[in-house]
Amino acid sequence: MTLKNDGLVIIGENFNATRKIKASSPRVLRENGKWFISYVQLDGTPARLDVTASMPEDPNEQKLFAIPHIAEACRQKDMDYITWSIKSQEANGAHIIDLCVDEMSVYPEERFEWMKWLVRTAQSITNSVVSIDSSDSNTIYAGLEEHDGTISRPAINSFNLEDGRQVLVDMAREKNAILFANASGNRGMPQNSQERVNNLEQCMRMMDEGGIAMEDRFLDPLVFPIGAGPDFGNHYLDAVSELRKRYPSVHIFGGHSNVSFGLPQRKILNHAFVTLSILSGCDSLMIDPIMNPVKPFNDFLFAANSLTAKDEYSVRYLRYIRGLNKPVKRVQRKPASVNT
Amino acid sequence: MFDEMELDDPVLEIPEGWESRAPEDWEWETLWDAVEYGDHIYTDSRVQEAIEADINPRVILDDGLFPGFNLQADRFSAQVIFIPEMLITARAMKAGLALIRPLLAANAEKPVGTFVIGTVLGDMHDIGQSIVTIMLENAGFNVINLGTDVHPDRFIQTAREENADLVGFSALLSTTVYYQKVTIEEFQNAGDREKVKILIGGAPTTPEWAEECGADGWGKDAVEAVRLALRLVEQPRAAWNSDGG
Repeated sequence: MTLKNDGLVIIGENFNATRKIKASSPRVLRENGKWFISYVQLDGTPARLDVTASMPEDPNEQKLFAIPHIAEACRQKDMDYITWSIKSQEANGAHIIDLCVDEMSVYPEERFEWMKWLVRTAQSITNSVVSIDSSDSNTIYAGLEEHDGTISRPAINSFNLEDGRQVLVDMAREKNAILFANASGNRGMPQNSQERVNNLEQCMRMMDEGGIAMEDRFLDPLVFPIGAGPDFGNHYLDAVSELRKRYPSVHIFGGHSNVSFGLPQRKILNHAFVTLSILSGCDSLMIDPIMNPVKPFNDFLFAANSLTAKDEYSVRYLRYIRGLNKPVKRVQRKPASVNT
Repeated sequence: MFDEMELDDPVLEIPEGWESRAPEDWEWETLWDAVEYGDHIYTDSRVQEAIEADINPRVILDDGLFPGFNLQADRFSAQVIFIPEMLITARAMKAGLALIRPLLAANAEKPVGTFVIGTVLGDMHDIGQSIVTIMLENAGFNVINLGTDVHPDRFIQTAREENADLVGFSALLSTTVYYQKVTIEEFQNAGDREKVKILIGGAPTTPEWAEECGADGWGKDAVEAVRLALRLVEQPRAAWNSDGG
């Protein structure tokens, strides 16, 4: 994937049917027995999504409830909310929009239909790359079938060593797709950094054989919550460092916010973790770009590279700063040799 | 700072009329605190002292270990404490139980029940079910953990071999919860459905789904799973026959 700049590649994670907002959030309003999530459309118009249907009836349960707002917007086919959640990610720096409907239904056929509908819908809203995300390969096929390559390239999220997933490499080539690979093994989740590296190395070999261009490969060493295991943060970071050593130009990313699952004030942990990940060699982030503005992370990336001699004579840092302050005007010039 | 702190924080309540069954100069408070704060080293040494003081192992468990553990479990359910805090309490509990369990067995005390647990076919996640396993063992269950990506036949086979009372399968992916339903159907087809109580759990699951797939119960977290298991193990089940059917 060719980048617009050499900063971080941002994969917007917000369009996932698992995403939830706590009922206690200030964004959640209650009026006449109905529940709403308020938001501001990109043109400044205040708007709301009616989420009453998702709420439990018991007031005690309501207090602790987390509202699956994306799933609710899909069920209602609320185009305002869907458009907003895609466009607001782009406006905040997302290069790739991840789409996941796994939570919409436990029944495979229903899930295929939801994915087809969502790919169509998203492509009618944006010409950014959309990543077709599912833990089930068949849902990914369904999304790819529906994807219109004349609007944008698709991304596949994701391929790994589990049975039945290898065919996604061929599919990526056929569909000119960007390919995400994660570190899951064919016998279970990786237990340490070494297993992560080994599994992804195998994926890299399969992508070599499958003829996937290096710039189209995104490796995800898998982030597990530190609440469940004190070493889980290091397992990820060590794997990132090792992979970066072996593959200087592959993209490396992770679902960074997973690290703080089950802990309070998650943003504090998430920000520290993203920073540590960038130091270890991540060049891509799968995040909520609205809650976690991207600019400070890019500032850190360019500054850190410059400070540690990874950016000789601060050339990229300077270009980045100029680009921020004064976007370079793209003047159409005629080649000198052409006579008109 | 923590919005969760607005919730009621359960406190340790000593039931009225409770009398220590330990020698007069013995005190339990330090052990309660150690389990509550997850100090497994102190828990280990204090339980050892209790054993040497000739206190009945059942009493050590009920009066020494459970008060701190149950308090943290209540707080975890009320979302006052977080997973790591529950885990270190479970670790302390486990340290104490490791010393007591052989003594309970020697006194011919049976496990509360036999529980076969695993993650369903196609699902590689094991973090959640390992936590549930620790908690079930703490509560006195004999737990057989089959790991991840478990085929329905293996659940059935193991339940038969172990004369299981309860079977639990977790699914951590929205795309694998379907196999909870499939696995229950396979128990039905094998003619073994009435011999076990079946629990399901996992992040994408709901009580509605538990009902739809025909499970006997659903736990929203590890603590609730244990409470549910303790309730269900009391309920009548068809007996396992000696012919293995």
